[in-house]
Amino acid sequence: MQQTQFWVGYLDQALIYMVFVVSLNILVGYVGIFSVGSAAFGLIGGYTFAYFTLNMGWPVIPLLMLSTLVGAVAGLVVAWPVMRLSGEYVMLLTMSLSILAVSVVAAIAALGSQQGLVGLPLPEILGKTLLKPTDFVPWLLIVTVWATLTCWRIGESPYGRMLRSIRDDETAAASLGKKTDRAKLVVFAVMCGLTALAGALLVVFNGIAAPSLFTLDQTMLIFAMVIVGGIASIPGSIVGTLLIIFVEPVLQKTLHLSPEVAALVRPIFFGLLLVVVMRFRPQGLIRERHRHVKADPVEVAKASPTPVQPPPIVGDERGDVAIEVRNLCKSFGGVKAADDLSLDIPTGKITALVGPNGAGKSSLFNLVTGAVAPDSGSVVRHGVQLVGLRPEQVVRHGIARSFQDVRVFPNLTALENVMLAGRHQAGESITALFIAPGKVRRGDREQAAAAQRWLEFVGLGAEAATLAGSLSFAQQKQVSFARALATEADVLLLDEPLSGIEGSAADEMIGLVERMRDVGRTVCIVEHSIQTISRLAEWAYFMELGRVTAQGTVTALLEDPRLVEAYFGVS
Amino acid sequence: MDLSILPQLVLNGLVMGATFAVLGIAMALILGVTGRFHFAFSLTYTLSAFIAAVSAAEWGVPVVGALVLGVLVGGLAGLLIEWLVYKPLADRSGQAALLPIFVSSLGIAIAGQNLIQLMWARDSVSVPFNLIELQQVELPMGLTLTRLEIVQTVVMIVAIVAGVLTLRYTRIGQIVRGVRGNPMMAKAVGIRPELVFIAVFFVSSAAAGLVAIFSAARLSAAPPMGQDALFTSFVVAFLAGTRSPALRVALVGLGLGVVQSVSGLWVPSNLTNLVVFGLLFAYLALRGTGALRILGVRPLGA
Repeated sequence: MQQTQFWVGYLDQALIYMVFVVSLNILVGYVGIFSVGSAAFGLIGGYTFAYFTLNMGWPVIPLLMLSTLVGAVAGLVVAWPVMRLSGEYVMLLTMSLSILAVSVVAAIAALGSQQGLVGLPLPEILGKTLLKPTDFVPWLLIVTVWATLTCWRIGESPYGRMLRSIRDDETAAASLGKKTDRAKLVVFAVMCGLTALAGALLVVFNGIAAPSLFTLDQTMLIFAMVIVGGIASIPGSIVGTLLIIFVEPVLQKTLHLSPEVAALVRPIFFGLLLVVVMRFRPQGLIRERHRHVKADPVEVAKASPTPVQPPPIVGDERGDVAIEVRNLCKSFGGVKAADDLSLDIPTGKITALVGPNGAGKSSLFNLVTGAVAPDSGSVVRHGVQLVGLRPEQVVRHGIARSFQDVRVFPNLTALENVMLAGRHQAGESITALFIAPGKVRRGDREQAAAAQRWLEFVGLGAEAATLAGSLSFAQQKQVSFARALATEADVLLLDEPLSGIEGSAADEMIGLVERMRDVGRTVCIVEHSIQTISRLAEWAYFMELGRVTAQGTVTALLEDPRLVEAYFGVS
Repeated sequence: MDLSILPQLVLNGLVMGATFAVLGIAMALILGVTGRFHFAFSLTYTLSAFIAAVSAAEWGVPVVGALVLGVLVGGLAGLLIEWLVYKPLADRSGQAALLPIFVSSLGIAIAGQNLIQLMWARDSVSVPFNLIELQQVELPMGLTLTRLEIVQTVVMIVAIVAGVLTLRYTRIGQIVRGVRGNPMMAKAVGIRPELVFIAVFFVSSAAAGLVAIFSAARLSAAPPMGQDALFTSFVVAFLAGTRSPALRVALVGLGLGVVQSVSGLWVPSNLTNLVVFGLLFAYLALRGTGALRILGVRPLGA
């Protein structure tokens, strides 16, 4: 009997730690936020539970809910700086939070100082008092399964797809209209809430809320479980937790080590395991694997009877000028990327930006799309000032871009890459995932059908199920074009669409740009190949040192010996 | 608030700040030159202190010899970590090496600290190291320091000056700054960045080991001692800027020491070491929320 309680006690611990681990894995694995603050949020939940149970005598279940809520609110506050910091700063911030939280709590007399809050009443749920480890198992199992399923639902849904796109390339995700800051903020808060719940469970199980339960070492232990099990793998989190928690009792029983020595050997084991895993199996014991979406042929046919003809653009009051750029200035130190730059992008045509390297062509795309804020000047679209808007807001004003270095999401399929660009996706609301699963499922099917249609438009329908990272460079460019088209933007800024490809692939790409114009898109293209520009562009701006120095048809520009010399270096 | 103790607090702060300065320069070199998020800095620090303390107490090595041995072993440990662990990961992962290196570093730190405890501190919490007697020395204006603190400060100042001058005026410093500025270009002119990385790890770990040994002489060597040193070094390096000149890093370290010591006027003594973490947290939070930009403060750091 005593033996049973011994092992079940560790099982209880494993169940509690699983809640810590799955929620941290969502942050680290799915969003790419390297948080090392699990213990701090666990402490918030644990002390909330202990304080209210001691002073108010509230029952267990409402207190667990309160602890979760308090943790989520604290997470929301911390998420604000976290979402704009790079990886190493996030680690530092959350680590210092972990140390501060423990030290501050240990210094507050009302919270029991170093000893913590002791003398908690025995937990009682539905009239049953929990005394032995076996009494805790069913309740912990319920909470852990619920928390794991919650994380699973978030991670393996359209929301999780969006999170993984943010993890892989936040700039590219924002360029598709994704509200990356909001997504990170929300998911960080939710996961901090679950972490606080785990902290409260730890306090319930131990019958005490002490600083020693929530030290930085605990955070490291949880982090190790995530890494060893597998980043972005929920089953991996379960395996990693069980493996590391059960090392200690196994050492005690098999090697007959004292509990004190076993407690020291366990961190040595998992510390070395971390090094070995990173060196020889960096993906962890269970590698990241997700169910990939496939378009339903019936839905595709229903959505588009003529697959190569995209839908008309709705709600666009076309004028002669799609984008007006006026007096735009931007300096990087002493280098002027835009120097009092003014130009118009005419609607429904292909316009080219040409000029030598360093002329500011790609910088202009960054300034127009909100990726970089100008020092002064304006970018106006249909009377709306775009300066000051973030990239995801600019997309909603009908301007999308492709990148010179493609920037597809390599771990998503071609179809999923394009699906991400769709607007108004029910699955990208965390509440809809849980309260309207049917709507989410239907919406995702429709998105898949629309994305398949765009892939067929760019000539890549057959590769819909292929991981984007496995496609050729030219095919990745096609995916990025399909993605830009799927945003429903009617102005497409294409940054060197032919760079890195040649021969028939280049010809196909030129044909594709023409088809974009033919279906009503306004295209602005940066391209070095004069042959390509001559064939495609109806109007061109010649740029030098951040300024437009000439404009006209490409043929007319090429007749100016000064421009030819500036561009080719020869007259 | 008793302001009469302010001069003594400032002096104590400068003594402490000198150690912060050495730790900050060491970490700034590692972060700025190699880009490694070296969490195992805490292990090499602790290892130096234990080697010195254990070799003097159990192996009969004279204290000065123990000090040198501790410094060398700490430096060697840093070198081996870079060579055997970080470099292979960086070669494989390239730009995405931040997480693998951090995790490996974390693993080394956790395993190492517990191994040290298992080997040398299982029965007692810490191991003392009697380098110099803790005798009080009266200074002008009623100020006092221990003999150990005076020797420690002199050694730290020598280390700081040596570091600043070497990095600023010598060929070695020029090479290190070259690799820090542009490793590819440095390679193109015949410098081998991987050797510079290894050298940086050796020197920085050895310098941190020196601080650790003096800390052990003051308070004994204890397994968790590296954690505070690690965070202090991060705070100084990030606040000063990891690519900043060593003199600037040193001044930030000295300033931080004074701030922490003087905070004793308002903050309970058991919480003064939290001032460092509080400053780091506040700085990062302000940086993340964009408040630094709004306040017109130019962000520092890597």
